[in-house]
Amino acid sequence: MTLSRRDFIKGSAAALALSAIGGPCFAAAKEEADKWVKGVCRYCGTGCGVLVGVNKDGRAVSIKGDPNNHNQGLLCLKGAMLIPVIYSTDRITEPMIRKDGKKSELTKVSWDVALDFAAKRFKDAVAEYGPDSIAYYGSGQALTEESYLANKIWKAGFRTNNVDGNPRLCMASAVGGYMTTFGKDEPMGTYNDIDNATCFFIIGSNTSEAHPVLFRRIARRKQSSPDVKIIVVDPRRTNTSRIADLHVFFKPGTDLALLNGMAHIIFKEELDDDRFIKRYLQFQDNEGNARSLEEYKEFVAQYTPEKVHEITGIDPDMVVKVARMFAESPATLSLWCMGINQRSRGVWANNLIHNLHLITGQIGRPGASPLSLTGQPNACGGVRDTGSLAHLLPAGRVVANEKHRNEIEDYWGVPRGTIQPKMGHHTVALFENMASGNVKAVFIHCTNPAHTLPHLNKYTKGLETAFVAQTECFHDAETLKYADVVFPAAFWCETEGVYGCTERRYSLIEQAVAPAGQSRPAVEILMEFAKRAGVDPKLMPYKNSADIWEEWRKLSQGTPYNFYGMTRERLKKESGIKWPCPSEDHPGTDLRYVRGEDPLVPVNHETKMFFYGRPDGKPIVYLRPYQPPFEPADDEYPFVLTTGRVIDHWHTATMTGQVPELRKAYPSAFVEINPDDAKKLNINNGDPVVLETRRDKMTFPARVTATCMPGLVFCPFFDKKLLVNRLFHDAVDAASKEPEYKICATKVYKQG
Amino acid sequence: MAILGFLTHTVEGKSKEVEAALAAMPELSTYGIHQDCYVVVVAEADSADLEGLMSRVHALDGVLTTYVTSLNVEDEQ
Ligand code: SF4
Repeated sequence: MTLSRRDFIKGSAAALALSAIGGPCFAAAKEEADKWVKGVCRYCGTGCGVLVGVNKDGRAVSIKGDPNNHNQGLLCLKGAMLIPVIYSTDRITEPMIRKDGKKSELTKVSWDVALDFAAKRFKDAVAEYGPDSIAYYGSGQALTEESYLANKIWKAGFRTNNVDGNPRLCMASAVGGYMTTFGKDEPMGTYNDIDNATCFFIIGSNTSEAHPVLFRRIARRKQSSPDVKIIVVDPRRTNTSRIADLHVFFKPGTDLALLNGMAHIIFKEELDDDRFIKRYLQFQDNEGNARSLEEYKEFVAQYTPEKVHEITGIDPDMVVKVARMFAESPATLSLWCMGINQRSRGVWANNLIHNLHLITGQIGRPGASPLSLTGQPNACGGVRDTGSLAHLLPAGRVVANEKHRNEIEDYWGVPRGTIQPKMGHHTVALFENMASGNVKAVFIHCTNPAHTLPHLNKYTKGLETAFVAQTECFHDAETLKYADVVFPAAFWCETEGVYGCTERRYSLIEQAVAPAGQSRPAVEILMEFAKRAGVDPKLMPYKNSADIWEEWRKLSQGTPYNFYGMTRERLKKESGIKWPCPSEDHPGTDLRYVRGEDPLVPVNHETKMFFYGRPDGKPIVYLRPYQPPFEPADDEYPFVLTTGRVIDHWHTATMTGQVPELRKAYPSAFVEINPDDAKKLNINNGDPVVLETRRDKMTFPARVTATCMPGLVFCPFFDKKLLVNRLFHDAVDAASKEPEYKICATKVYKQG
Repeated sequence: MAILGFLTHTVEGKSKEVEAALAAMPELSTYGIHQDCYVVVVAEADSADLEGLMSRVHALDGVLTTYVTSLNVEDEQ
């Protein structure tokens, strides 16, 4: 590269950074790649738009944030380092099978051999044991077209509802919360609310590390106006709390009491929105009985600040302060993530956040909304919306409802009665049934359950027992150890498809480069496999992923998930559109359920808001009592262990681990421990520390830091050499079946 | 050598200090303070050193966080 070319690229880099904050572009800001191809970051649920620069040899050489998408040209470092992942030497480029069972080596074979090998096992299982002896385990990282197609193949082709996926491990409680309170899934707000909120209630989310580009938007909002207040409720002092006005530490797993206590103060101090409550709301207890407003007030009145203090450790004055700040702000935005969802009462916790918004009328206005943050880039659009879970059908339908089944059967052109009425196995049950031999074969797509399941020692038995067909891009994935057949899938911008992020925004990832080696787009793999396994080819009349999108887009018409207006052509031109979007000239929707904003609310509807997800149009405020976590700390296991992400790795690091500079930042997992606890246990930085739970024990290097409050230890989960989920129990939320990864009891001691 | 364009988001009232500290790092060129809290920066470094460099940026007093806007690795391919 010549000096002048470097100077030119440097000038362009500065210009891009400046333009991302609305500054003037320098003259040098011309585009340096031969072409720029639009896409979405492969990692988190923020869903940042990217532009991939491709040179004239067809090789990706640069990446920049898409200035026209919500991220306004910004990325975090891991998003900016996606290019080396494409060209990693760890890529799987040829199909492989284990010819002689689990103990034999994976050997390279042709596509035909691999596909036939897998198809025969599935076909045989169905013939001998029936359709429920096979399953599909998908991903919130798969493209929408892939999840839609797999759902159709399994539920209508093989006739089993054993279709689940990793969103069960991260977002199922948020789905349960939206469904039970509002009657339909997905948030009513969008990221634009961040620019209008005057109070942020951030609970169970380390936004700074898990959703870095959104954190920037929150921090910018805070800096733009001294009146904007930020409340962070988190037992860890993370970078997110650096911008907080109030940081509320509490005993892990006790936040239900805080949320009810806030509701009590809101009524006690007349901070509620009586007009909104009377017009729109209904109340219900845990048994499904209707309750009155007065009964609800009486119920939350048990949660006095003193009682909340007893349960949570939060100072009573702080409870009052937080409730006032939440209710008195002109527009409060709640943001939450895994700290709320990955809980044995995750759905309840979601309901209680919604309760606060409903009783204060902090909803349906710019900046006033509950907005759950998604962990994966396409859990919302790809899995939740397409209904690719064991109990769901596309666009908010459920398998248990005959009318819903018939609608989908008619649309898919299969006889009525094809889709089974019984829910399939949710994730934990699926792996249990694999271990017990009830499920004989599983197709795993785009996910790494041998790393991410809870109580790993128990559930990897399922992978040891069942036949495992897997699509995968990287040799590094832990689950490969158990795979009987491996299909190399085209990675990210090597193929084309749609991602739908947290804010109901669907964006198209266009193909920028050719697939590595013999890799193929997953939709091709799924169709080829299914045809060979005996699924009627008429169910899959597609030439490519655009055809699948076309079918899905049309299926959404007339439903509460209507995105009929998002044609492929339009998605190519625009950098994401938010549904509902019922027609090609509709710009997309910011404020759901609001007359004049949401196209699904009739223009002449009698009230400003219409919660059409519920038959009576009224969201439910729930009387949900505090319940402790499944396994709180006790005398024998006196610490609470929690897990989460670090900024430079994403999930199981099969992708970020390919980038040496990201790997160097966090070469291995560690345990964070409070300095006071460390002192008592004679632990110094770097010392080997044993975490011993009722399941297993493991040794981690210590990081002594005030990030964790006393009594709490934290381990990131990215490291396959230190699979922290071996330590966790497998308690799940009763409704959402999401595991409680955030809290388990542990002993902590220095390795002797 | 990779070229990384990024914004450094500073804590209120610290932007001048942060800009001076960034300008003193040999791999970085700064392009001014904007909106009182963002320093526009371009890094030129071996991509294997980028993470270490960014960790040093994060460790500077007054840095809230950073946002990358572009990464070019065309002469490293
Ligand atoms: S914030 Fe998330 S979506 Fe955006 S660049 Fe970073 S990892 Fe990608």
